[in-house]
Amino acid sequence: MTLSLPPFGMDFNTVLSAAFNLVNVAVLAVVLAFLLYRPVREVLQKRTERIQKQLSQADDELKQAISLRHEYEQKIEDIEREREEILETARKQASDSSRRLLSEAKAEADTVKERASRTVEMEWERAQMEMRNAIIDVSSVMAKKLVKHSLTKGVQDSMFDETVSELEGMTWRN
Amino acid sequence: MDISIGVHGVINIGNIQILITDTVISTWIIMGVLIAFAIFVRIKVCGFKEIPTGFQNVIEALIEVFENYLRNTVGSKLMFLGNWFFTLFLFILVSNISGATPGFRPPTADWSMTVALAIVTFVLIQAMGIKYRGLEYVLSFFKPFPLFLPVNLIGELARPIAISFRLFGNMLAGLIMMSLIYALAPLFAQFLLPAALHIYFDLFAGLIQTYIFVTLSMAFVSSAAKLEEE
Repeated sequence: MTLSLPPFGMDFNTVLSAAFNLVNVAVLAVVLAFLLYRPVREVLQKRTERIQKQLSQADDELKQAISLRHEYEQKIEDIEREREEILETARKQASDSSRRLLSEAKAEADTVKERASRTVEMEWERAQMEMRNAIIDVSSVMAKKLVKHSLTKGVQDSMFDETVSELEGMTWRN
Repeated sequence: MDISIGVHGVINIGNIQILITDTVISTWIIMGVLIAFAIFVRIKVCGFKEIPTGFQNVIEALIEVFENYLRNTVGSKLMFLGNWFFTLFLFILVSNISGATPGFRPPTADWSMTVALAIVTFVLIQAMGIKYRGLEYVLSFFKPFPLFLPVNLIGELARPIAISFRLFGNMLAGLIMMSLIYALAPLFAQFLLPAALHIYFDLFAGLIQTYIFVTLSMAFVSSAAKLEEE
């Protein structure tokens, strides 16, 4: 066929050609929609949705993590406060205990001191008594010897009586 | 030099005779290439990975860039028209670039093709206008007063016809220029000089005209639906 048409015309053939071209392009649009545009778009949409979901999850997890951090910070603060309270109580108890121990030790020391002082006094009195007895014994021996050599029977008796009476008086005093 | 459209056959549907022209054959070839590409992508889509690489990157970037371009031009409400505009963009782009193939007549250098594409834009303009604005859109043809109805109708028809002529004129001009150069250039210069001019007339002008046609179509549809505020 040797027929040819001008590139531009407004005749019936042009209208028919335009309609036929329209059909061709419409067919192409349908085929491209099913084979190219929609499948790739679906892949992209699914990925976008998945990424958005992951972002949303990450956001939730971040919120949970922040909430947990606040919770733990609160717990740490509570523990810190409790620790301070325990330390304060322990310090107070230690101070009370130390004061009580000191006062007990002081009281015991006073008791020991008093007891020692009493023992010293008792020892002193005992020593005095022993010394007095010793002096008495020595005096008796000396007096016996003196009396043996120098005193008569009459003087001896009167002295004996006098001494006995004096001793009796002393005994009563003690 | 022959820039006329050759007729290679006739399809008879009843009393109607549809001519199988150069444009129809070119269109079928481009459709075949695009459908083969789409089948290849469809097969590859099944093996798409979570982290895209290589070819997957190219395809995903193609769709994503186009969707962003569409969203920025028509807004989110008209995203359902994405498939049509994507086909329009791909078809016009490949048609325009196909002019660089020796002996191949780009379908967009035939007004019957560009006007067919513009008719779809016209239908979409009216459909979206009525869908989103209803009676207000219809009454807008009678503004500022009813006497302006013919003027408004002519203005409405002029928009798609203007974009169809713009694309057709540019591509036909490129075809004529290249035909002249092939006819006039000496044989030894027919390898280097036309190659550089093909880059300008088919690749550069082709890409620019594709962008203009599709962007204007989107803008007209969006304007009719009055969704520019998005």
